[in-house]
Amino acid sequence: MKKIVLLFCLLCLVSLVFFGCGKKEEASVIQVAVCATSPPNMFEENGKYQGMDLEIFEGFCKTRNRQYKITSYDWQGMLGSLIGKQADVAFSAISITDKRKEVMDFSKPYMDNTWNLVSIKSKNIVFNDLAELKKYTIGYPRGMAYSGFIKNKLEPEGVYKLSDVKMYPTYNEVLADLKNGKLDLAFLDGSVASVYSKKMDIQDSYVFTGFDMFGFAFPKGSPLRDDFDRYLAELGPDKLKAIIDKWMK
Amino acid sequence: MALIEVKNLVKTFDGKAVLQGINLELSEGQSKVLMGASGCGKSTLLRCLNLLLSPSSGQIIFKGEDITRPKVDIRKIREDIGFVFQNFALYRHLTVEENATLGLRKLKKMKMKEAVEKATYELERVGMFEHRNKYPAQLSGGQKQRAAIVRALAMDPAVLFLDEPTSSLDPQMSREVVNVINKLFLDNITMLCVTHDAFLAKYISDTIVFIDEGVVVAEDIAEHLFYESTDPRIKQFFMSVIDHR
Amino acid sequence: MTFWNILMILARGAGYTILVTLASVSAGLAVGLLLAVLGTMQHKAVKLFLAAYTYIFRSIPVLVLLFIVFFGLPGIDIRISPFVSMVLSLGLISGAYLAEVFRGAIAAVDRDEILAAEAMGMNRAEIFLYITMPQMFRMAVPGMINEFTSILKYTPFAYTVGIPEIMKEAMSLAAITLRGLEIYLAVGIIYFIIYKLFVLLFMALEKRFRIPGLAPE
Repeated sequence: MKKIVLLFCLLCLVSLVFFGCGKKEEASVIQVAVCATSPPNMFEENGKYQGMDLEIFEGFCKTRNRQYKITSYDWQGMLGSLIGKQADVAFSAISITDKRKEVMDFSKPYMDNTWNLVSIKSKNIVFNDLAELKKYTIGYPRGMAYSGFIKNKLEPEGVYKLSDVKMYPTYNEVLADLKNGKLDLAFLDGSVASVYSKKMDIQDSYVFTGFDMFGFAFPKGSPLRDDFDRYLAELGPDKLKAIIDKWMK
Repeated sequence: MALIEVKNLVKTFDGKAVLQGINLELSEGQSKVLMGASGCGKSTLLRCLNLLLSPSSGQIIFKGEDITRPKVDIRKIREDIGFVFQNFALYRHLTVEENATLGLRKLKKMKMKEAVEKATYELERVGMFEHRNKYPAQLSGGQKQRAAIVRALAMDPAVLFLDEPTSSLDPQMSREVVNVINKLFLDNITMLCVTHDAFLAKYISDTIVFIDEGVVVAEDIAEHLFYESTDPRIKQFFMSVIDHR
Repeated sequence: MTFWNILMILARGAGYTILVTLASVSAGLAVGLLLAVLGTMQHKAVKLFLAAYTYIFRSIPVLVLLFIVFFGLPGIDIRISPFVSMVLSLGLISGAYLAEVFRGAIAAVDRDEILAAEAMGMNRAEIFLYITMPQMFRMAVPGMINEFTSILKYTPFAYTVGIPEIMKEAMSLAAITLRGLEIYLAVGIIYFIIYKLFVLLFMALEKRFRIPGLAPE
């Protein structure tokens, strides 16, 4: 019996050493944090990470001759890893907000985003006047930038209260509730909505445009951010648009 | 020179003096049995001799050394004293053989082969060889006590202490154990035994030491003490414990 | 994509789940044992430490401790890898519970046997090593299996610190296929299989080391 315990402790030690030290890779490898649940910006298919954001970043790495390594987190873990400096960069359709700017640095915006309130086609919810929003239940993944928007803009104007929102782990769970009727409206990024509308019978009930943009996120004070901005400038708006259009098709 | 010399040993518990000045001697090859009424201090005496209890005052000389002085090597002394308990106290997670070899391997640093050889010798002497791979839970009371004796003897002690070895056994098993200890007695093993079993005492003692209220009252051969004593305390005690047939 | 495909993709994460579980169990055992040994000492300072430790680590939720270790400590410049953070957090907490299990098992060891060992000449350390521990482990088996099960069920938290175990595979897959029900059912099945395998392993081990007359309470 003692030998088994000894074996266990040995196994623990070995794993610890293996994994603990494994992360001490050369400093030149860029640690990337993603939350691969936001197609087409960042997702995982057939065992491979794919997405618009990744393609842009891979371009950057190629010109700088750098390697990168991806670690998957849940949404808040991804943002948290920047603050704890476990990651050098994070991307997965991250909206640039003032609140986030307080704790991380963003690149120049690379894509305009719309915020779509979608619903099941059969329910036929469409409205143009925000005053009607009160009638419906809204849901979206925890930690998304919609919360700031609702709290700072919609709540003071009496349009909607943050406490009435239903929170979920990822888009998948939001859409599941949408499908089974427990939720009226889901808040999705425009890019995500375009992907899911091909798989589900959803339609836009209301679209917020003109103020949200995606950026690549870096730890505060990161020199990588400035280098990346330089890359975006080198790439140029046309090439950037081409990449975006390709994934948004 | 005696193997063990006890001089004026006193032991108090919470102000009550259980041992009030014991004087005793045991030479190599001798076997003495301590007897007396319950509470007379005989078990306490035994446990003081291997320092399981610490004496309040007095001297204990073991192999010429005063073991009551502060810087004594308790471990070495205890390795040299085999102890057999009333409740057997066998290590229940080990077989009979393993119980015997544990001390040899871990304390005397013997190799397994040597230890098993020594254990085998004692197992055969006591008639427990066929049970050597059984666990304590699989043994009868008599077998357990014999296993405990093997465990004690395996360490090759200078003296064997036995604390009420038959008191937890029914008459049949008790006889089994008495036979074994008698065999050891005839082999001239140095022994000190505490018991109220007069039958046992008769067959394993050179002399019986009668203790009353913490002091030695008399020491003589079994027959004299059992039947010919004039001391009222001794007479009364043996009236109650001997089967007068 | 068939249900079988889903199972295969999720199984990729199973390796990490098992690794995290094994490492955390070992860590918990080590911590629990250490605490149990400390529990046999009489020093007032040690007793105080034990009381404080038990109170803290039995009341803090696993996720909270994990986040403090992984996301919070970097704030004072202590950086710990995801794997170590997870194993440490689970180890410290389950160690607190295992210590209780071990303490109970230690108390169940027969005082007479300890006295016999003392009379034989063993010191406290030897008595603990050769008499107490072997009996303690056998009597603690049900408690240990219990803790192991708890640990297995906490491993999904590893995803939050970036360890690619089953939940990570599940969420990524759900994001593109939107087949949540099938996916999470498959996850449940895989956990069930892992649990069953480990229980079988434990029972085989228990049988191998069983001693007549020394059964778990």
